[in-house]
Amino acid sequence: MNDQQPISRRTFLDWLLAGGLLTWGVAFIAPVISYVWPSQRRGPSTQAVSAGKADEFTDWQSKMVAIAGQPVIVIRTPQGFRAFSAICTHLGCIVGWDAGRHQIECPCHAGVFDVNGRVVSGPPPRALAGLDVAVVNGEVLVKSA
Amino acid sequence: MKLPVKIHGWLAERYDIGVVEKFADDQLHKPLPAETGFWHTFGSLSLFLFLNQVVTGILLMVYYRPTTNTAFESVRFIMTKAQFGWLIRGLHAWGATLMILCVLVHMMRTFFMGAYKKPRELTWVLGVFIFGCTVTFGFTGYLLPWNQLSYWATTVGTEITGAIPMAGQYLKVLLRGGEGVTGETLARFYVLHVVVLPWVLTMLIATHLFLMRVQGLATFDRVGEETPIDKHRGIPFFPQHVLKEGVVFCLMIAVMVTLIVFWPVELGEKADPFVTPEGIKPEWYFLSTYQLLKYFPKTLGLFVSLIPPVLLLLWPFLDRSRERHPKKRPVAVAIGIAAIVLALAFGMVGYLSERNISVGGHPYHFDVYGVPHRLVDQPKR
Repeated sequence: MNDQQPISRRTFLDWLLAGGLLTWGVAFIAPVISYVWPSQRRGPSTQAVSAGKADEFTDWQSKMVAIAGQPVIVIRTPQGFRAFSAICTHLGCIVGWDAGRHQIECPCHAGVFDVNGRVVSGPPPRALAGLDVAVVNGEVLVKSA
Repeated sequence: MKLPVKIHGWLAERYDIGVVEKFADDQLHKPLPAETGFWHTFGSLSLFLFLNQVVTGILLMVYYRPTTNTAFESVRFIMTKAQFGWLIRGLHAWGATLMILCVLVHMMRTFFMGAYKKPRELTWVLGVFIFGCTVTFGFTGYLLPWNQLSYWATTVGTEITGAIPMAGQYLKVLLRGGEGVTGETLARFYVLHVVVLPWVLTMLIATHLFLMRVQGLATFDRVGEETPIDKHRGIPFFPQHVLKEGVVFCLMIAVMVTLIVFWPVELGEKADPFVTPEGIKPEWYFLSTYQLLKYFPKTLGLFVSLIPPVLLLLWPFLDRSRERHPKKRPVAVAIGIAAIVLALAFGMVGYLSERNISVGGHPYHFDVYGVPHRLVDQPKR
């Protein structure tokens, strides 16, 4: 004997309506999430930005420049110019150059990087991102990544 | 016939107001346990401070402009040009700190008096969410003045979100509205602070209060052996306890005004995304977590810092003993005291770290881990 009751037309329609409303609700969430999700569409940005004249820098001197709105630290060493993203790889604070110790330091949690951007001590998990730098006609040009 | 009587008659002809009157009368004259004292006023004190935040927050919104070009300037306008603006902002800023403090004291009272036990586990869980919501209020509101401290505290705070395995980076971008802390972040935090969180907290508080009124305050009776509180043994909610709360509210206003006058809320310098100031610290209620994070790699640190809130949430289901009186629960009380001491110790070390402080006439530098190093005295000339 079959104990199962046949589904009435009313029950079927109730389920159909409930399912439809649920689908409608879910469908409504998708555009809300995509609206809240930040738009990150950007065109290619490969232009070079000037950090100033090369003769404005003495050895072991640094300068902070903005490339695509991001801070970049440019350092002159006896071996040439170096450029790194100034955003600490630990928790995003802006690093600074210690000309006396020849090292890059983070003021937030005492992270220390060497002149090649490598981690010397402290909590940063990886090296600072390096950027290409070249001197063209006496101008220090930093190429955005 | 007097006007109130007329209004009552008019309503009674249309609605069954007897039900409402009986409910209000029952609630107003509900007897409270005999042990109800001043420690029991911290819950309503937290609610009072929440109402203070709502009122002063609405007043601040009249002049506040949430964009990177205007946020700092509008807060400066409130502080210097708007009549009593300094007082309104002071009440809001100090109110936030005191609200977190009161919620914490209320939770400690509930913990040590064993009030979280059956049948009030859900009230406790809601309370933990209320605490989390209050702290999130503090975090989102901290950015709004758009000064150096708030900008960098938010940068570090949201960067920690990125350490969550798998979803961390997505969450960070969603929270910030992009890769960095920008005007998008300010707009998002503003919306969270003034629209989303107030409604969430209101719902949580309403449910918390509803459960508390339905189940009544806990006594020291063992779980399952509670005796009903009769009118002769208990304290009447009205007027005794309500008056006690009124006294505490007045004291709280006095404390807030004193704090505003002697320790005014400063604005500092406008946010500069290219310069991180030295010794950046979060607000006091994040200091212990801030210090804890220094001892662990990012993801592990996040995991470790999540242990206390998860333990808080699950505590009523872990501690199943039937005793409520603190003297009969030595292990739970010891754990509670140890947790408070640990939080205070980490907070203190977090406060001292990366500072030069004179101890006994000698200058010391407290390094990033809070270890003191004696500085060499400068030779006297």
